[in-house]
Amino acid sequence: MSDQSAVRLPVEAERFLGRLEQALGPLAPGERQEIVDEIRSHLSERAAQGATELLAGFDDPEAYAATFVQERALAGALAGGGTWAVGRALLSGARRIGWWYLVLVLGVLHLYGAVFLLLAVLKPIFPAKVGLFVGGSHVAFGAIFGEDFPGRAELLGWWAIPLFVALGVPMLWSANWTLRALGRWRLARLRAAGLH
Amino acid sequence: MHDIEQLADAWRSQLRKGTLELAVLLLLGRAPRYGLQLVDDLNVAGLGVAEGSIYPLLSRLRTEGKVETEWVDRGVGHAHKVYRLSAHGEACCAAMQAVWRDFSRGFERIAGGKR
Repeated sequence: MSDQSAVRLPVEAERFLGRLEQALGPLAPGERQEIVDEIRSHLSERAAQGATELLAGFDDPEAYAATFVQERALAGALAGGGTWAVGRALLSGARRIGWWYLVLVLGVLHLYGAVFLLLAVLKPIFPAKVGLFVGGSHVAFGAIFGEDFPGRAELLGWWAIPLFVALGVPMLWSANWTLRALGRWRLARLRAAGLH
Repeated sequence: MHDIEQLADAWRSQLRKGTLELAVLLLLGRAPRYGLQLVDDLNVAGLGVAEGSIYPLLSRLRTEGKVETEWVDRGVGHAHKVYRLSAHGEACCAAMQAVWRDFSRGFERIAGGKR
């Protein structure tokens, strides 16, 4: 990369570049610098051509930076990340509270799915501690490793294993599928919104 | 009348967004260019984009391996980040162009009333 400092830009353009660099903070330093250098080169050439409204074709620096940052985060998570990475990428650019609720609900669904699968694995190891328990006025579903209650009986037996799998797999799958579908939709919206 | 113009503008904007990537790949297939040259060439072709719009797109094309970049400083003015089409980009461009030709042929058949 070459030295761009030889060209003097107007104050508002320098201010734009400074805010842009700050807003690109989540990116790697080299990547961030390269974007800023490229925009500086663009503005410098326009200035040399005699243009006065240098920033007319750019969003405000924070919104402009978000098109780079969010696009990378989502595309990266969708390409190689797990469900939680996609959820984090969706939340990183979320400005509406609805997104937070939606991702939270899907995250909880995913967590429950993982817990049910874990219970299916634990059942053969701790057969008396995992299952559906009733006793007196108490009912418990899952695992009892701490406080016990008197007269409890486990009702499911080995059927607990297919039941936990049957609950866990669809929960994991549907949370994962929905989060990825939301991620793809959001990515398409981001890419379209970046084009004016 | 005003509504019709708005509708046409909105539709033009959607078409431009849908075809911008192909237009950029085609331009880079002819010769390496830097961002501002691409903006100017697109504007001359009537596919105008806001100046800032080109860089997120170019950045994505690079991440996807469709273009390669190089900083070029000819010693006059300022350095430019020059984009050239990669082999993968050429293949993508050819595939997209084939789809576009099929699409426009089909559309022409309808618009021209041919069967």
